[in-house]
Amino acid sequence: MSMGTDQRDLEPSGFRLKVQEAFQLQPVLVPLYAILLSFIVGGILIALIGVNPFEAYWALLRGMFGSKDNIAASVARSVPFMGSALALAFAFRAGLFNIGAEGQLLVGGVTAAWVGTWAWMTDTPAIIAIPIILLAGAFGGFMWGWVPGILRAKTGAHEVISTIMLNSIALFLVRWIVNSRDPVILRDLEASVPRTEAISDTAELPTIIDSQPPLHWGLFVMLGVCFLIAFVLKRTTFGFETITVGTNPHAARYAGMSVDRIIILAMAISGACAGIAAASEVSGTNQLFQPGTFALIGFDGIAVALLARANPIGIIPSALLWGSLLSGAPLMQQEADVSIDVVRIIQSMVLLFVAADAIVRYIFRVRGEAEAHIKASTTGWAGQ
Amino acid sequence: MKKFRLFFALLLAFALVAAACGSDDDDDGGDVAAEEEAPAEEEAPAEEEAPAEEEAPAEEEAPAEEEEEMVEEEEAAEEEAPAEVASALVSLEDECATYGDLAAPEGFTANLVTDIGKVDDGTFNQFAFEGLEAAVECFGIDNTSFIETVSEADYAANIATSLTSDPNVVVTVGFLITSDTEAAAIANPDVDFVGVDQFLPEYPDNMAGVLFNEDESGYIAGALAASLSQSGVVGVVAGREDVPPVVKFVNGYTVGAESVNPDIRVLSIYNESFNDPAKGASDANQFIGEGADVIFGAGGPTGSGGVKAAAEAGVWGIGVDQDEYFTTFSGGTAPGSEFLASSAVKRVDLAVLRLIAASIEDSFPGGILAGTAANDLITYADFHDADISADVAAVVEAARVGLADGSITTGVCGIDGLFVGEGSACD
Repeated sequence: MSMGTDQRDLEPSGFRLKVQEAFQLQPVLVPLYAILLSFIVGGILIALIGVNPFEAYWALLRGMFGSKDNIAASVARSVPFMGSALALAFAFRAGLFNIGAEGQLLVGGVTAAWVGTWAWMTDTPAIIAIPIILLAGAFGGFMWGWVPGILRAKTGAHEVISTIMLNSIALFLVRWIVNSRDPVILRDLEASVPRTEAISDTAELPTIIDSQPPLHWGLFVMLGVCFLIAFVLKRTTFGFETITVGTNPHAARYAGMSVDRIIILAMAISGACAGIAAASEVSGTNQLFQPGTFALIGFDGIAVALLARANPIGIIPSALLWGSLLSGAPLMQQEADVSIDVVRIIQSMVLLFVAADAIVRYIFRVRGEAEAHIKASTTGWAGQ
Repeated sequence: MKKFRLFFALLLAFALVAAACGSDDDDDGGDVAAEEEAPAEEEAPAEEEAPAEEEAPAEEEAPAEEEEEMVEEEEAAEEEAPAEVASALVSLEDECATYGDLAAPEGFTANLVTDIGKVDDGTFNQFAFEGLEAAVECFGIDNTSFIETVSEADYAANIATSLTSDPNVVVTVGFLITSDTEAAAIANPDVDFVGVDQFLPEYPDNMAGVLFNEDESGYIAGALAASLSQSGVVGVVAGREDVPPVVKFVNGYTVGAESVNPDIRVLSIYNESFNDPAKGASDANQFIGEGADVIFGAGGPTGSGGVKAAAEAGVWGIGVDQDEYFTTFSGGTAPGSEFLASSAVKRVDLAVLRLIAASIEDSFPGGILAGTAANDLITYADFHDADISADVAAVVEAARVGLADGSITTGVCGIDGLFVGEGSACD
């Protein structure tokens, strides 16, 4: 962090403070209160539709953590959100708002599935085949993130617009690749459902617990990626440059950093995070690629990242909360007849209360200044 | 200022999530329609109507007060002609009545796992749910529950959750859930699985796939269209040509129309997408420009767009799959509802009711349950606001009865929808 000291006289008052703050684990008090508040509001909602909220929440809780299999399923459901949230979070630090995780997941997933079905993969030992398929996914996502990055850096096209467009392009491209019968590209002609053929056995991530969905080694892959991104941001020159560009691109340019290069790389690495998550799903959960299984993972990743305030480590509990709520909801519907939409409402409210934390601070009398944290999660909009 | 940015960001995020939900639902709906590949429906319809002793209990007294053992059913139901029904549309109550006092054993549990959507979304989800509810009421089933799927990633998990309540029968909806249903059926041989719209080359013994003979559906629509037409030109706005059920609809429609008026001109168009109502509307207007005065929509929302455009232009429209009076025309409140002549419907509700009954009777038939006119699963909807003359109604009913008793065949191959003898897969 020696560089930070060197730069001090650029913005003597706030700059260094801000850099430090970005590295810190965000205070968890507000998110916890936000979750509590959301469940209270959700409970009122459940009571309004004539169901005992305690009964509903009890079913939800058992759906999430009621047994070993439920816990495993909840964790397994959370794993892809780590990647899609990182895709947002990393770009966030560079002052970019990457809405394109949805598309980056799809392209990463289809690339991984394509590589996984290569004939020679069957003769390749797992220790090589698994890294290959994961890297293939990361590469697919990398390329799909690189495009809006270069558009932003070279033409000034705003990444929010271009990533949204690229999501649609990815969706229809991938659907064509998987659906098309004439010509057959990756479609498994035996299956009645449009999907690719199964990947080579050797490229499958081993299952830890055979729950539904299965908990597999993709968990450790994604945990590793979270820590890696945290390390890169905190301990490397590139990470420092990324944060500097995100905080003040003019200062970064003045200090001799290549802002364009950082923007392109940040977007591409964001895409790679989503791509590797998709590859881990392809390799560990489905052993094939079916575009619909990634629906909403990318968009929910935005929420997961905002909940974690774009902190790569904070994303882990945030994704776990998100995934286990989704995983537990069906039991709540089955036993208490409460629609899964209630869980979506709770999730939205958590996000709302975290973002508009003045509400939470007012209700729970949490001390501290809201503005600084808000700033941290809105640099993407304030920066440019 | 900062706050405004924040709220704007949030608003955008929510809008995106909402938009993603919305559009995905649509897309998936389209895909479901797009891919209902049911290539092999030439099997004899699995008939498991209870014997025809109609005792017609006036009101449904819930029959499961005390534990009544399952009624021994006469096994003679096999060759039985379809029960005489007053209307083309067998009501669930009437169907229930044919089962006499069949009651579910105590603790019987019947569950539903939907495709992406809701139990009241006007698709197969809703009809399967209605069939389940009717069965619950009719047979006094003790426990029932349903799970609405929100993501393709959740199919297997939702079936697993459903199985935790120890069900006797589980209904799953949609072709996308086929392989997960099959896997669950193999892993749980004591549970009966009803797969709506699910085709497998080979089914486990405890899994039944509900599929339909679309050519018969198209034939009924064609007969209706030709008898309504003054101009001698009728049109059909169809979905994708590479999806066999769509081809079956179109060719069945042509045969049906020609059966009424051999000189009729049938205009047909296939579309790239099932999800493009605007394209369907422009197809319909094109056909109307060429003189067509009846438009049959056989391609999901694209076809519905055509039907709606026709009705709004004062030209007859015929819906498909479900009674579009309630969906496309919002129960008669949408303009043009008096020009929706009828809809060629698939009775998913009835099929689900029958299969649950079979499960209670311990006579669950693994394999395809082919919906045909003969087993009342293919028929046409009420005319509602449309002013259909008795003559026309008689022609349509004759077509339906003819298909049902086998005196009419469509000549369409069940595998690929082409005409038998013209290079179809059946030759």
